[in-house]
Amino acid sequence: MPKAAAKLIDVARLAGVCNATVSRALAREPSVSAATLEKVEAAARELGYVPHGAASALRAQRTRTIGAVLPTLDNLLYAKATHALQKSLDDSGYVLLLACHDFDLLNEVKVARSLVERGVDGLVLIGAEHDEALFSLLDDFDIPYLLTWSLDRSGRHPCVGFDNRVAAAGVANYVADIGHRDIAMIAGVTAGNDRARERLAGVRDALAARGTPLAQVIEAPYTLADSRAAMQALLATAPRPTAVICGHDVLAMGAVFECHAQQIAVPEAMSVTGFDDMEAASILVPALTTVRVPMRELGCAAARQILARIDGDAAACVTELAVELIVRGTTAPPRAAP
Amino acid sequence: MKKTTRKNAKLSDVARLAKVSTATVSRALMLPHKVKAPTLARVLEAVRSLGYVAHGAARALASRRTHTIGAVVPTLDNAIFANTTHALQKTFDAAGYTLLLACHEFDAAVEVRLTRALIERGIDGLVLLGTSHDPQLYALIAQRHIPYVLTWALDRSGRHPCVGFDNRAAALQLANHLLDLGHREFAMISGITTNNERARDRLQGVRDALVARGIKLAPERVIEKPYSLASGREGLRTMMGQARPPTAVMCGNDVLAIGAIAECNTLGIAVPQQVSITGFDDMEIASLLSPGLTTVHFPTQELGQLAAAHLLLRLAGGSDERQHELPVELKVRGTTARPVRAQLRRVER
Repeated sequence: MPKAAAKLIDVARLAGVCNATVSRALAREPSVSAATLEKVEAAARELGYVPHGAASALRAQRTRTIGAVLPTLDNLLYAKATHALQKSLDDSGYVLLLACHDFDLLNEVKVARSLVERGVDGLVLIGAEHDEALFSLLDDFDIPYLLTWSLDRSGRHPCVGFDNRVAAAGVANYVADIGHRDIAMIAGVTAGNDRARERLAGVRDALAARGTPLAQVIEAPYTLADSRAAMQALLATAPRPTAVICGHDVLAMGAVFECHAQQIAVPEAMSVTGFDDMEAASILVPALTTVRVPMRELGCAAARQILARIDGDAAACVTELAVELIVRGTTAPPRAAP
Repeated sequence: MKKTTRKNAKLSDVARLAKVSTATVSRALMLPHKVKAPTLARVLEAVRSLGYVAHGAARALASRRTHTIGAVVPTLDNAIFANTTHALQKTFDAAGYTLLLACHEFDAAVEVRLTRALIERGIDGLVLLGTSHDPQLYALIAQRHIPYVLTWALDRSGRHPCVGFDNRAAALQLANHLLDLGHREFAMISGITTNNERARDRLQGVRDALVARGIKLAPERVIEKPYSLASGREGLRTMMGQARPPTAVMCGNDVLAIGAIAECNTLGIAVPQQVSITGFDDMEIASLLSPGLTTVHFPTQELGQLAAAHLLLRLAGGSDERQHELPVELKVRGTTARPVRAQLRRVER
């Protein structure tokens, strides 16, 4: 038969302190001395006591939990930054709980609401585009929050990110500089995803400014299969583009795989670029030309900022991180026309 | 002071606006399928217009049900776990449950801490990855009577409900494939086996298959590495740098294998002509590489769906078999072939 769950009073008895001290200690109130805290924690551990979180959250109004809502789990893109966020929060005694919305901004409101209901001290979001209902919810409940991966152009929201548009323009200018004139793009799905939209806009604007407008755009979800299909369509167009700029490394990898399958030499007959510099991009032969995004730095900076905001420090609203074009083997000047 | 009004909206305010009783509001929010559609619509409209959020803490205290499931996984930085977790999330979402996720990054102490935090927040059920956990974790779950399910591996003690794969049997299949091709010189780039019975079972399966044919895996032919491409590269360099390099390098997962193949390309070692390479898991990319990766397919999406269904059934008061084993499948592709030495012997004959 299972042992009955230990109660607060059992912990108090074992630690040799009063009930009120146990609850103050477990709520991490500064008035409790380190020695007492240690005694209480040892007793709680020994008895397997878990304070009923709901009750203690109501009392303390601090949960030492941060929520993060990701667009998807099915993509390694967010893993590195989330890992860094988690490590930094852990160092500060905070727990990170994750939920995902599957690129559905209405679902994001639902999931965020559920995190808020569970009790979180702060919320980290990805991207700058969100349903207004999400911001109202956070406002109504005074939940500190932070946007990541993008810069909020409205200036209303605190954010840690980089300029996706400028970075994408850099890629487009490089591809045009080495002589390409017939350039296509495999972009991420732009609906509800400002990162994908900004990257597309950056490429489009840069090429238009040079008088060689973007020839064709296909939007594809971030999977190898979808990007292969997109590349197949681009390869079937006449005239065939000489360079394909991809909105994400996964898209670029799929594009390169499709070229391999059709025996189109990369970069001799087709230049391909990615975005994000995932570790996996380095295994392609030749290695992928891409944009390095400081994912670890992003996660660490996000942790610092959300904790500062929870402590009431509203300074440093916008943190912009630098990105870098990494030229490797998948880009080369186009072959001279026969 | 519109904001304050909205912030303080109570259940009774919702009831008044929706012209129903407070009991109906609470039923509509907790058990929407038990409320007539027009009533439900009215309540939800009132909830929206008042910006009412049931305080989860208060609601959890009252009902002891949170409609939240916790999942503690090693990492998101592995497409295969992400795959399973994604399927879990979809299945729970369809049943009206929110999945909250935490990552322990292969640290057993952190896993206990995160699980404790999830339980403190109030969860109805828990999904764990693997069978190898700190005893404190099992004690915690037992004390709190939290329904749980272990995934990815099978608990041979029969004490824990689980939905998983027989990792040892998968490794046996793969090693036998290489043995049948004529390989005798094996090496393994294994995952870190500490606190990871999946890695341990895979290594054991390889050892057992070899022993059955009278071959011993020498200590210098086994290296444990974290699951990353860089580790696969390092492991491959170590193994192929030996005075007598192996003809087959088995890797603890596809990520290690892909790293190993990338290193072969860098070193100018032809795969599979000079060395055969295998993985585990069958990630999407495995079949797209050229040559395609020989590996074992694990139905990871199905695993996520089944684990979620198992837990939902238990939460609904049903009982279920404790052990679900999902079949795995050997995928022979281009990275395995007869060893060079065996081919030579054939020519000599």
